[in-house]
This record gives sequence, C-alpha cells and structure tokens, in this order.
Amino acid sequence: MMKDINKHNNSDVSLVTSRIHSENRSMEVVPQPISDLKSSGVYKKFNTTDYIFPDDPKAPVPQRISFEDIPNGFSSENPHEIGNPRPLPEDTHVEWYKTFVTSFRRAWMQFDTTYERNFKRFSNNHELWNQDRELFEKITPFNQQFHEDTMYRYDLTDTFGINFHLKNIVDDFIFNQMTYAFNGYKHRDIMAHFLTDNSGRVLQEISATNFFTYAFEHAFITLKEEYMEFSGSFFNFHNSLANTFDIGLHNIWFIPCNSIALGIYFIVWALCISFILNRTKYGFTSHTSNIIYIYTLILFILCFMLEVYYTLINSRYYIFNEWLDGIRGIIFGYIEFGGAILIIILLTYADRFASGIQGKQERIEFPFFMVVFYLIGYLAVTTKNFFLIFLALEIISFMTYSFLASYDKDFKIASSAALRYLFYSSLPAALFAFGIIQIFLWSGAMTEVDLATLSHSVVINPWTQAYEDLYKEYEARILVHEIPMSKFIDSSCDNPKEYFSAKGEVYPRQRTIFFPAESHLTNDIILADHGIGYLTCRMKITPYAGFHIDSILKQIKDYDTFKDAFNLPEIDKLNKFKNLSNLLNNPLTIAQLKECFYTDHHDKMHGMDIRMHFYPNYQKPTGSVDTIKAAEVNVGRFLEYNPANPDHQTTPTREQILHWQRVGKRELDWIASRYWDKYESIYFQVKADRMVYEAETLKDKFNLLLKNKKLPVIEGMVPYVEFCAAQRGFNNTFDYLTKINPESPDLVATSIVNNTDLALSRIHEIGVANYSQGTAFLVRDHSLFKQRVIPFIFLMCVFLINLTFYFKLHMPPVHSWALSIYNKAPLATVLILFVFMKIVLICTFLTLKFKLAMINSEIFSIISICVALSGITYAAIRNMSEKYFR
Amino acid sequence: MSKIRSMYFKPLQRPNFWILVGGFIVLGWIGQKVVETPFVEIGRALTIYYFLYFFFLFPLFGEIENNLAIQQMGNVDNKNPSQVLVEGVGLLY
Repeated sequence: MMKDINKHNNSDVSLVTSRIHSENRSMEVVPQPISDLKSSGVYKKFNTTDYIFPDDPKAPVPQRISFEDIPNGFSSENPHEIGNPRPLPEDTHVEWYKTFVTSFRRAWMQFDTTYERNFKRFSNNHELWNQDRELFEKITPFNQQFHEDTMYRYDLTDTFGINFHLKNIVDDFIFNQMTYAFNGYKHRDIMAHFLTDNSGRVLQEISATNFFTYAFEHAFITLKEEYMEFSGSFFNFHNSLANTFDIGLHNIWFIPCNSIALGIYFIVWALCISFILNRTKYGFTSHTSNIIYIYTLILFILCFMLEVYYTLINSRYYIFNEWLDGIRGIIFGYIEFGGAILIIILLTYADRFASGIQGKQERIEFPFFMVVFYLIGYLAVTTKNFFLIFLALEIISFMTYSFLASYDKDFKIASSAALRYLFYSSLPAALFAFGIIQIFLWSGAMTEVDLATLSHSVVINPWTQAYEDLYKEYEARILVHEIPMSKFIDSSCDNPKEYFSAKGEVYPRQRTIFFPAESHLTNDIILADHGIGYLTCRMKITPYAGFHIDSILKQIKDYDTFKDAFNLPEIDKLNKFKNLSNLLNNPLTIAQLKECFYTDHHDKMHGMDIRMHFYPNYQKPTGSVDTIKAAEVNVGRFLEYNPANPDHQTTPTREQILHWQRVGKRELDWIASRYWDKYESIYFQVKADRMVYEAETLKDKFNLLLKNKKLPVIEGMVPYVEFCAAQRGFNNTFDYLTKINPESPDLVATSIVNNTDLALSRIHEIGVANYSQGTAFLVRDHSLFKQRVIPFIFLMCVFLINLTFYFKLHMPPVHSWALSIYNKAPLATVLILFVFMKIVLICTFLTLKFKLAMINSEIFSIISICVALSGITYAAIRNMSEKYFR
Repeated sequence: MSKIRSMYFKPLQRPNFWILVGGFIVLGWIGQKVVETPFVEIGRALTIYYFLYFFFLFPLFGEIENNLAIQQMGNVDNKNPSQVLVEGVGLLY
C-alpha cells in the first residue's frame, strides 16, 4: 500500500485532486487470511489497554434514550436571536433526527455493498473510465487540451453562481455537465459521480440530444425557481433589485435579469410621471396612447401595492426588524422615484444641454454623466460590498466636484474650486479606505454577508482576544471532550495540561487550526448535531493570518488528529498521516491553497473548513477505504473549496437561516435526500468509522450487555465484531460470538440486526454532548456579539467609516475650503446633483449602519444615525447664520 | 477654519496646497511600487504631511489668515473688503 502511495506521490502533480479520488477508490482491501494481516502489520495488536472504558462488570448499563431526552442543541427560547448557534426550532430538530435515523439506516444497509461496488468500478478499471471519458468528450465542445489547460479552476460553479439546490442526482449530472462544458473542469469527477450512481449503475446514457434538453430545462425551470427563492417573488422588487450589483452574493445571471427588471421598472415610473406632467409634450394624445397611459397607470399602481406589501407589510423578509426594513424600503422607493424624475428632467432640459450655456458651450455629455451619476448612486446604496461602496462614493464625489464645479470652463474660480474639491475630498476617501481595509485585514470581511458571518462566529488572528484563549483553553476543551471523560476521572487530573504532561506530551502544541463556532452547513448540522460522522473544524483565514500561510499549512500538515484526540503514540509508527503530509508537501497543492487564500474569492475566503475526522484507533477489517484515504478525501474537498458552491459556503447568514426556517420540513427533507444521494460514498465511510469508534469506546459495555443477552448494537457492529474476532485470533465471527456468548449466538446475530435505535441514541448522545458543548464555548466566550470581545482596531475602523460620512455630510468644511462650486451651472443640474448626492450619502450611511449593526447593536446604529442627522442640521443652521466673505 | 475662500488671499495655504497636490500624486505613485527602502520612507513622510496638512496646518493657517484679515478690517472701515484683505495679506510679506 505504501508503495502505491509513493508511486502516486511521484506521479504527475497536476492531478492532485483527481488522484485523491482515484486513490480513494483504489483502496479496496482484498480479503486476506487473518494470519497474514497480523504478520504484515496492517492490524494493530489489540491490547486491553486500548480499551477506553475500564473493564468493569459493574459499570452501569446505558439506558435507552428517547427523542425527548436527547440534549437539544437548539435554543428554543429565542430561535430568531442572531448568533444563536442552533437557530432551528425544536420540533424541526426532532424531525431532523427522525429523518436522520431513517436515512442512516438506509445508508448503513447499503454501505458494504454499494460503497465497495462504486469504488471497485472506478478504482482499477481504467478501460471503463476511458470509455466514459471518450463518450463524454464527444458531447462536449472542448478537446482534451482544453481540459488540461483549465484543470484547476476553483470558480467551477461561478458560471451560474451559487445556491444551486439540485434536487436529485440527475440534476447534479446536468448541472456539472453544463458547468464543465463552460469551464472544463472536474472531468473525472463528473464522470465518476454523475454518469453512474454510487452503486455503479448507469443512471443516464449520455447523448447530445438529452444533454441539451436537460440543460435547457435546467436553465429555464430550475434557475427560475432559484430566482424566486432569492427574491421571494418576482414582484418583490425591493428585495431583488437591491441585490442587483452584489456579484459575489448571487448568481451572475442575476445581474442582467435584474437589470432588465430595473429598466422596465424605471420605464414604468417614467411613463407614469411623464404622462401626469405633460402628456401632450411627448405626443401621447391619440386613442392608443391613452390606452397605454391607462394600462401603465394600472401597472404602476399594482407595482406600488406589491412593493408596499412585500417590503413593508410582509415581515417574512425582514433583515433586522419591520421598522428598520420599512425605512429601507421607503428609501429605495424614493431612490427609484428620483430616477424617474431624473429621466424626466433630462428629457425636458435636453435642448439646453445641447445648446450649452448662452449658446457658447455645448455640454451634451452632461445628461450622460447624470445618468451614470444616478446609477452609481444606486450602486452605492444597494451594494453590500464595502469596496463597491467606496468606489461608488468616490465616483460620485469626483463627478460632483470635477464636472459640476467646472461646468463653466471659462470661469477660473469654478475651475479652482473643482481642483480644490478634488484634492480635499481625498481625505474622507482615505479615511473610508483605511477603515474598510482594516476591517478586511482584521476579519476578512468585505461584505454584509461576511459581517453577518462574523457576528455569530469567532475571528481568529493575532489581534483578537479569542486567539490567546483559543490557544490556551478551547483547544484543551475540545480534547477533553473528545477524550472520554472517564479517562480524566481515572487519572484524577482536572487540568488537561497536567494530564498531557503526565503522559509525557507537550501541551499546548503550536497550532493554528480552529474549531467552529457553528457548523456552516445544514448538512453538517445534521451530522454534527447527532454526533455521527465527523467534527467539522473551521479554520478562519483572515488576511492577517494569511500572511503566515506557510506556517499555517505546516501546522495543518503536522496536525495529528489521532495523537491529539486519543493520545496513542503508537499511531505515529503506522505513519497514518504520511500521505496527507506528502499531499501538503506538494508544491502545487500549496500553490493552490495560496491561490485560494489570495486571489479568487478572497472576500469569501475568510472562513475555510477542514473536516477533521476524529478517527479512533481502528483499522477497518472488511472495508475498502482506510482512514488515511478518507482524510485525503477531505483534504481534497478542502482543496476544491469553492465559495460559489453551496456545500462549501461558510457559516449560514441570518438570512439563510431564516430561509431554512421558512421553507420548513419539506425543504429539509429534500436537502437531506440530496445529501445522501450526493455524498453517499464518502460519508458512508465516515459514518462507518465513527460508529465503530463509538462501538470501540463502548465495547466493554457492549461486552457486558452481550453477557447479559442485551445487545444494543447496530448493524455496523457486524464488521466490528469481525474485527474483534480477528484481533483476538478467532478464525471466524461465529467462534468469537460463541465464546463471548456461548449460550445463544443466534440471538446475538438477531440483536445485531434489530437493535439499531438504542445504539444510535447512545451515539447521538455522545455526539451532541461533544459537539454542542465544545462549540458552545467559543460562541459563548468569543462571539463578536459579546461587546467585550470587539477589539479596539475594529471599533476604530467603524469610527473612521462614520467619520467619513460625517465629513461628507457636514458640508461646512468643504464650503470653507473651496469656492462656490455651482457657478453658472443649470439650476436643474445643480439641484439634481446636489440633492441626490446628499440622498445617496444618507442612504448609504443608513444601510452601512445597518450592516455594522449586525456586529454592534441596533441602538448603537440608531444613535449614530441621530448624531449624523443632528450634525447635518447643525451644519445647515450654522451655514445660514454665518456670513462669509464673498 | 478660514473665512476666506479664495486662495488668492491665503499666502500660507497656497504653497502648502501645491505641496499637498504633489504629495497626493507621489503617494499614488508610491502605492504602485514595491515595499522597499526608498519608497517606504517617501510614502511615510508624505502620509505624515498629508494628515498633518488636513488636521493641523489647515486650521492653523486659517486662523492666522483670518486674524490678519480681521485686524486689517478693523483699522480701515470704509474700504473694499478685497482691498482690506490684500493689505492684510501684504503684512506677511
């Protein structure tokens, strides 16, 4: 096996990701005689000291746990509270669990058959693979060279954006076909995963005809549903149009779609207003135009009513509360109204722009500038990206100062004012840029979504308080909870540091792998809440931490879950993670990771997840994939991290959580079914290991129950029992079972099949205890919602951003520094640009305060708004009262 | 803050403004350069001057020039304000 691994490591490094899967599939273990296995060292000698529980016959028998007794990780008191680590309601949780148990049974029943067959199919059968590949290349528009050139692209799903909730494996196949056709990526994975299901059965015979058929169905049906999920409804303009320019947040096709909607919307507004103002001016005097006029008015009224309903009345889409969101809806209404007014005025004063000032200067470019001005203002208000806010505000300032102030090019005073405005306005720009850059460096957040993520998670970098505490405490806690508590009780050691010292280990280790404040996926919540599968660990890569990327990768490479979690030094001798280390020694892999960190989607990369499997001291006897390969698979998934992929997203935002709550049980069941279909093979192994691990931890109790003829074991115990028999030198399972329970081995076999629930409940109990308690610590102590944790640097950034808006809104300094800028400009232009800029600033300020309020409090936000508005009022009064030299 | 808007009557601010403009341009150029020895020091110095100008020199010069102008206005009542300012500013030279 090791030879194979080395061979792979020396092979073409450009196939890292694909190789992971191929190796994974190739790890089928041919059944061998037990004696050979023992002599070859594949099986570790099973000592009684490896038993985690003491062999105490008086140990209490675990009681059956009902659903009501399951420790609930949710806070059912206020599930809508921001930062609630388990925001789903309790009844949903129980339903989740029932669904999970059902799915688990089904999955486990298929494990030893489906899983192995699937990997056998693609492990060594290269002919079959090549056949599929040739077939696939026939229907794709690219050749092999294209595939190789574009092999490593992380923005796989960016062609269509994120949030593709594909309903079944056929849709997955179609989706990846389409994606691959555009991006030329993951050829082998597509073929391996989507040409067949996990049992190797061919799901869909590919042909060019049905490919395009399904592709178009996907594009026009599924995407429409996705759009409606985003916007809530096609008529919810405020909710959908407001997100038009958030490229990273929504599908890319969302932008042209929304732009069309926006254009139609403006046209409707403009027509309505123009008809009201002066219908005869535009020639709408005929009978047909009157009909158009009436229908436009009706459409306008309908749109207005729907807007009001979906934004102000329907509270399902609120972000903070009805009050604040209602204000935001009103703001958007005014902005759209202003756009319509702008169009009307441009039409009305078109002659003047064309003729110029007193017939001397033609300024025909001004209508164009004003339209751009309006669109940029719309971008400033609606975007959720801080950098786009900065860019939009600066463009607005530049246009105002330069173009408007220098309207009359022959007037030197105006030109002088424009120049001074240009340079003086760099001060608030510098402050704003400094603020957002510091926030980005500190937390990796550049969008509202990132701030929402931060608000209920933990930021780890040398500047945060959580860094030291995590380093000192939480790491110990997670180890404490992973290591059975009985071990500490036996050692009479309360302090884990002393415990490790007593064991001869150095503690704490230098490590930069961080554990989650919250599981980031619904699917993860299912598994992790119920303690089966794995423990998802989050490594938050902030740009500050990114500076130390080499050391972080080294620590990832050196991280030994076996050793940390179970303190079994003999694991090192088995070189469990040698292949993992080799993988991370691969320079191409490192380059890929750095590329992830630095280049693509850097605004989304502040939270990366590494699924750390806390595998037991266990070598699966009959399985087809050992733990090393499973770990590699997860590293491979980490390497394939794609923020556009819904499965790779970071912590769910409040909006997402509310969405999940909204869609209800049907949606959850649907996601669960998708989950099991999609990741069947990978997580089968994980579940198997976890279950056998739990069985290992409880083996003495199981043995005790065996003796008492109460065998609360699960079907997964079959390989476990076989394993135990092999470890103890029995020739077969029957002999082993006969010895430990000589009276009725058949009863044992029957119990193995029939007593699933109890073992699942027990596993669930342990898992919930581990996961919920472990992850609750960080949230409780280090969540950004705790005011004491917010570091000074972040507050300073907020202050700088506030100062920027105060500066831009408090016009007296600018008026004092420069001359009057509106010399000889048309009154309409002055009014539009001046008033609209103030509106944009105030709206941007309000929305930005909303965003910042996700970390701070709403009270703080409201106070800041009041201070800003009062400052504006004071400045206006002071302007009026003072007498300047002219 | 200065109560005189025209730069013509601000003999202290006029050269500093053009220094600011130059620093503004040089800072934009520095931002494109690698973080190495000559550029780092130049950037630091210009950044210090940039914020010093806005937060310290600007109000200081404004107050000085205001006092000069008001002082000159108090001496001559019936003069044209522009003439007064020109005379007040002339005291600096």
